[in-house]
Amino acid sequence: MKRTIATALGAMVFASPLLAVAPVTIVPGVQTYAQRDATANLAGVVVSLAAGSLRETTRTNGVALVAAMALERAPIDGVPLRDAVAALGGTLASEVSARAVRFYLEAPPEQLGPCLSLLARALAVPSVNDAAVSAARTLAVGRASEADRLPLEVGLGMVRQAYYAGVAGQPVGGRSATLAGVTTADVNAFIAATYRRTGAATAAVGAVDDAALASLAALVAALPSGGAPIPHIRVNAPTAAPRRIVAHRDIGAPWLVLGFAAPAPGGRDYPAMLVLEAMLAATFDDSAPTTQSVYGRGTGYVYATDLQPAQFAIYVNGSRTDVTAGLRNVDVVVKGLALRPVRAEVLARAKTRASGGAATAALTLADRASELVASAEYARDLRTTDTLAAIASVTAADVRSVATKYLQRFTAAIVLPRERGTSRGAGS
Amino acid sequence: MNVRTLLAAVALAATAVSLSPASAEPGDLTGALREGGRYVVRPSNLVPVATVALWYRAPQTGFGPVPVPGLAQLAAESISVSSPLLGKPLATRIAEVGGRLAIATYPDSIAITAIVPASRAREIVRVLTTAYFSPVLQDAGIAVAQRDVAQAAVIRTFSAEGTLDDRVLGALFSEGPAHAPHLGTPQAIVAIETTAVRAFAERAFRAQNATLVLTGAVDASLAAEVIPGRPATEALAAAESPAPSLPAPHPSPVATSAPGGAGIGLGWIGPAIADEREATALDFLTDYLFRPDFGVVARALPPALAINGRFVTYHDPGVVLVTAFGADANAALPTIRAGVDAATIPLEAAAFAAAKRAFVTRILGDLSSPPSEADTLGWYAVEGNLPYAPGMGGTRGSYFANANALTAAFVAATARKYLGVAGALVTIAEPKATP
Repeated sequence: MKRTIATALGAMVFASPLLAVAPVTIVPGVQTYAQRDATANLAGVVVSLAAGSLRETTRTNGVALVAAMALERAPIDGVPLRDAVAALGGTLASEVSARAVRFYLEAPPEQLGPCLSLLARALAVPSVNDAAVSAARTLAVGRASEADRLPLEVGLGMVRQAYYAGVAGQPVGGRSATLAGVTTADVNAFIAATYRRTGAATAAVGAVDDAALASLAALVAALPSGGAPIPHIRVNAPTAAPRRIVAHRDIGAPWLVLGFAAPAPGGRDYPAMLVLEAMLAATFDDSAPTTQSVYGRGTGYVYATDLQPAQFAIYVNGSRTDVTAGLRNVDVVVKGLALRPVRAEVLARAKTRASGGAATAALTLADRASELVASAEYARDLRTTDTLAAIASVTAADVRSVATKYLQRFTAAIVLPRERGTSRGAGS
Repeated sequence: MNVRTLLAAVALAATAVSLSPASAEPGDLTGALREGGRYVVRPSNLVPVATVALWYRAPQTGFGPVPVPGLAQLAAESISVSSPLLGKPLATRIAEVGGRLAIATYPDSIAITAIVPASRAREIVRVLTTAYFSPVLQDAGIAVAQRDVAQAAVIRTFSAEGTLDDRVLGALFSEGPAHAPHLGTPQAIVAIETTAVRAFAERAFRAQNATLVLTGAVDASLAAEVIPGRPATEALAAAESPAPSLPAPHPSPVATSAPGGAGIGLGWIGPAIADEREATALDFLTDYLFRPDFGVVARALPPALAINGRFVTYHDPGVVLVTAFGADANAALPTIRAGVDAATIPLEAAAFAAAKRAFVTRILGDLSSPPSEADTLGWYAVEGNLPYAPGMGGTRGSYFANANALTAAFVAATARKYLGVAGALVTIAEPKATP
């Protein structure tokens, strides 16, 4: 059955119908979605493997990221894989989440097959050398160090660690200390255990023809068989008396991050949570001249959906607004959402905003491929999990129910400016 | 690893595949707006998104003889946040439909860009042109914008990239909008008189000086939704002319310190946008040498050092900018110099073919979203050569024709012509810590 986004949006008027998204069977048991556009200049393909940070141990936190970046740099016929792809006119990138590693290839259609063949060879017998690991580790340490300087990242990491038990609470990219201890043997052991067909998913967008899909099928078929299912994720639900965690960094003003439980995409409560998110966005709107970045807002939110269950965080930026007043405002808003039914016009506006946000979430070929492969990873059938249609059916009672269920308990992370002699770590 | 070794590595990886023939694409649509100005429409159908952008030619420092850094940004933001016609700030209005609003200013241009669900494109065309074809600036709006721009100016002082861009352009040009810093100081921003802001807005933001760019799931009928705004007057009947920036005859090296961190910046004067062949050659060359993660110089540097290089296709002249950040940024200078020197010798054929193939793919990749397409079309329109915009006319258009026709010898000759002279050099150190 063909399903277009235009159909879901009802009254939308487009110059030409949006391209259909269709499930494709290229290898039995491997979820694949394709959105094909014969007029596009480029094709994009994502190969997702269940090799995210959930597969790490406490000691090897960060190895998933190092493995992905090292594989990009591992030699194929003496040339680093990403350079060999570039020489064919393609680009190769990787992205690691808690659940998966995604390799994204983008190339002109006539070069996609040869590029996929290179990636297939790298993934069929995956192995990386010391030089590739060293380069990848240096990059990973740089990213981790940078994240550790950013107060919002620090606060989000704190509430994540408090909410998810075990390795799920670890930073996806690792910490500088653990990354420094990741060896080539660790990386190859991780790859050998996780770069396998079980849990693999793919998506293809743009100028993808049948030959490209055949090359993609060959790549998937050549993946080492087996693999373990995604481990069950345990959470520490926020308690009625909020837990407080404090950290210090070299920053000019305090930041407050409140971590809440939240429904994951595909779940029954997810559409109502998106509407609730839109209502919060309207409440936190600071009438700025332009759309502000997360660091430019006084109060904002981050909906982290890479794990099931998900986590929702509201933050207050002390460099833009008074933290105490900001917290009081958040408290009034979230309690009010649970106490009183939402007025019809407020609900309608929130739905409009939520639908628009969902429609504009993916802009590039790579974004679109990521969006599709996320559905494939979670085995969500796009035909039955239509986010826009689901948002349209949300009721005021749904919103109140979700506000009551998720937003009344939280963990508070406080990131304070460092004073002389203050320790760096976080503590309860 | 030196640059020659890297060149050889790329050569080894090269294949003999030539650039592919152009694919068939729908044509771009252009036309004139009712009250003057023009529109450009490029439809695509991958995502249900529309980009509605208004581009204006106007110097960022104002039209007067005394440059006022940040004036263009301040005026554009003041209109956005003044709300007598819309009833609420423009960004709020656009956020209500799930969209986003950005305002960017460059030495001689201003871009107001809304990314919205395609289903709301018609009303956003009306909203945007209502605000920016008949600008109204309230005192309260100007005050809000002054706070926002002043804060952006503070943040920019902590950005090594922003500081380097300002300093390199400041050294390359002796006067004109490119010579002045992008935003100036926070104190200067809040001191700008409201009368100056209004006068600038009246002259810059009018239909006759605008290019409306529509990309994504759109069609040309959207251009009919434009609210015409003020009719042309005798004094303001046409689009503004380019504001010249005069190259400095002998840029002096600059050494300074800034809180954004250590870095080095190099700059050279390049060809005008009208010289498509040379401009494309420098696009290729800067991509080949400096593209983060992929350029041969970028890969020869330690991973902890971030480098970026690009040819900026200004009206006349263009500029090559190379910036590197990191604690040991100074150590990158010999590698950058060696890379530039090597570029004056033609690449071996296979290496050149592979590099050109990668370049074309990356340019196409840069055009793969409605906002990036709108940015490209708007930029080339206000800089004075819309037909040359990458993607204009599809892969059969002028830009890709020039890219396909590049030869190793011509690229090397262009490098000798523009990069073989002493350019600007800026060195930034981190401020010494006070005890």
